[in-house]
Amino acid sequence: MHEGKLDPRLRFLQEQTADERIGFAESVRLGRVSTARRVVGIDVLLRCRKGPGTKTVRSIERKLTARGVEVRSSVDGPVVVVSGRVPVNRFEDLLQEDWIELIEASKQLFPDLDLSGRDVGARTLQTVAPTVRGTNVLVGIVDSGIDYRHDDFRLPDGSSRIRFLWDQSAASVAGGRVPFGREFTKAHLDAALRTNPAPVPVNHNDGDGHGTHVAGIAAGNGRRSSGQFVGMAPDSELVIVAVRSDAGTLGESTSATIAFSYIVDRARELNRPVSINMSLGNNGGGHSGEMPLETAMDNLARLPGVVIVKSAGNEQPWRIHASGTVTQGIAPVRRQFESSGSNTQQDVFEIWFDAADRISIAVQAPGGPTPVGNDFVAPGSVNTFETNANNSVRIDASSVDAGGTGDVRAIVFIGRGTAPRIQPGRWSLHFRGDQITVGRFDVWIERTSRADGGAEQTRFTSADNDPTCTISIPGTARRIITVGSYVTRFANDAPLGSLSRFSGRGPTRYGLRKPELSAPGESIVSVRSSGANRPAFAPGYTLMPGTSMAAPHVTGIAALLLEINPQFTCEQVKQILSRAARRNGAAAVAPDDTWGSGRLTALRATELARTVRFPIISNVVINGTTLSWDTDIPTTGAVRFNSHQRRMFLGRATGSRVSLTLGLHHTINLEGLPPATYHCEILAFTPAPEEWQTLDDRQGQHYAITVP
Amino acid sequence: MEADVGTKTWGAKLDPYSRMQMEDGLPAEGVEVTLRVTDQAGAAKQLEQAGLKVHGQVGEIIVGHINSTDLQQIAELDCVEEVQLSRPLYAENSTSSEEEL
Repeated sequence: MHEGKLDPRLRFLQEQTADERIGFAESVRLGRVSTARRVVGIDVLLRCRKGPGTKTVRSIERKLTARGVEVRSSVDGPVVVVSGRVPVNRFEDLLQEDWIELIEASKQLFPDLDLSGRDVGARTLQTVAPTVRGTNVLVGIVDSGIDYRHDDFRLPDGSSRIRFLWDQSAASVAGGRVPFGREFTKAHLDAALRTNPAPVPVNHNDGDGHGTHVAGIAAGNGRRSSGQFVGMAPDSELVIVAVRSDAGTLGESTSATIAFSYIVDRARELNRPVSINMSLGNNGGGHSGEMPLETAMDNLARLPGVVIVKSAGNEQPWRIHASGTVTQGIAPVRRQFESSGSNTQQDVFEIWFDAADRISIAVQAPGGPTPVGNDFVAPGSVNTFETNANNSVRIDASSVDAGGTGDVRAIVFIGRGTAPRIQPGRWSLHFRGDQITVGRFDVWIERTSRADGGAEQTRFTSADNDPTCTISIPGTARRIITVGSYVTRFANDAPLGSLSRFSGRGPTRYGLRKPELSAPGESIVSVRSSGANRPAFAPGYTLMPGTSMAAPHVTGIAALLLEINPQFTCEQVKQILSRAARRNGAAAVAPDDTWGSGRLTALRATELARTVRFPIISNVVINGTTLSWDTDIPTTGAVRFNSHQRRMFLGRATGSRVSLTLGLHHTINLEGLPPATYHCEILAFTPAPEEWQTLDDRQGQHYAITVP
Repeated sequence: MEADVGTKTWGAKLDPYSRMQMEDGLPAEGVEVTLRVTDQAGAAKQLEQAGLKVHGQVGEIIVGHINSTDLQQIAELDCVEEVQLSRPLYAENSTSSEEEL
């Protein structure tokens, strides 16, 4: 009830554990925080109201002193402003006093990469024996590239920490082993760093700067800043893919797909585990992992020693998702969206619903007639028409089995046609239930380049906006780790420690929880590419916010876990990070579809990584309608199933059966289910409180059981 | 009960976004495609014979480059389940406009 009286920065500090406060205090290094007797004292300004018992400055100072404040000076006036130092554990007492109107930190704190590293606990891992710094682990980055000359990506002898750099935009050379662009090895980079001109010129320069910043968070060694801005895995080595890009975009789904397999191939070649980061995305798909890029990522994430991390996206404030339920024989459901007068681009709407339904779709332009009859396009059909304002509209609902998912995927395109722009105003999508079993539909608006403040981005009205299911693709892939963002720097009135307003939210369309967890993303100081036009925060470093910045914190910490056990799978790393996540402060609502499991917590994660024992499933046998298996340690078990294999791949089970007796052998019988072939995955759980889990889906092929 | 859907025409194997790109006209230099295939072991060879320059494969997903005129031929192959042309991706660093929304 007193929250509004306390500066958000101080509230953040108050929410930390005693050890975290010490780390935070040390990292500030402003000479304003003492850590004597493990109690953090912080310099504050207190705004005090005069009244009964606090009529004079002296009386106020006396009362404050009695409540633990080390008073330094006071300014008298209509209110009294007192400067002093307060132990963090006394804030609560002060907040009880109604004559204290406000407690504010006396100087802005600067939680940058140095502080976000402390916030997640990485600094301790890097500096306190036994240190974990990413030794013998690769960090892969699929992004705009890297400033390979930056000191933070070089060893003390000046040589490169980058083992491979694939510049997809570079001119190809004969005999190269990449299908397009050019691959540079560490030898090429070292030579380019040593000599000028280099024997093999490396003309790559990250002109955008996004990839360099991301790489710095995951793996920068802080050499340029004498250790102030250190990434999460500073002793790891890097494999970089600089994706091809056009103005306003960064890469394409096809080149990103091949980028992931390239990085995994290089890791296999070097016999190293790899943690791969992707801080790119779009809204084009069903948001349950259906896209080919997501399938590829899921397939790679099954491999031991491969972890894939993706940003949750920043779509939350853009109102890009709507949903609803239609009923057969009832008036169509309408969802409205707004187009601005500056929209000269094409708008793309992705609509997904179950193929068991026949939902017809119509579009109504601003001022246009309400659609009726044949204005609606049924599944399996396409219709194109021109609006009264000469915009072109195409409704394509002919993907009646989108990617083998058993769902209908429809797309609505609105182009400017022969008009200079898309007609500004309020448009409507209409959904008519012709034959309904499920009735649910979801719509996403594809993002645009959002140049000039994003005025061209079409949005659903506030009334029709559905804030869930806003994780960007490919972050909805089932097996990868998707990361939301929270605030570690006071800016734009976003309270420290709160979830970033822009952070994409789950669940997936199929209801699976995303994101997996959240990490510092607003705002982070990391490596600045010398080729990018971004303002310097400090020499060699720049500031950026976004889930793009949150994801590489997790990528780097995952690399530390792979140093502890190079055979961990992505699923196992996900479990460890989720189990270790903190749920303090604003994250107390976790686990949920905003925070995931909570805040990234590296120290606890590495402790768990050293002691965890995941069960191993073996001797799987199918006999008629029974499925049996062994585990190496006592477990309970379950079988999840669906008669639709692709949906099972995406994690959408229609049923499950359990074996609750703790043991080394389990048998589950699917007898009694309706006749069909069921695609099954096996789950083994260690007993509480650990409850570590192993999932065996036969490498995505599933165990098929036919119930006659 | 959920049932898998049966055989598709080649056009139905393209997602609507790709169909739209086709109707708008594909570039003369060809296009990058991502394919979902049913025969993981043998599909790449069939696709190469049909004109696809395979860039890589991850399980049932194959990525490659194809002349625009050969796209239909590729999509008609029995081993091809889904065809998707490339879609742009965007960096996910937040902008000031997002913070102001």
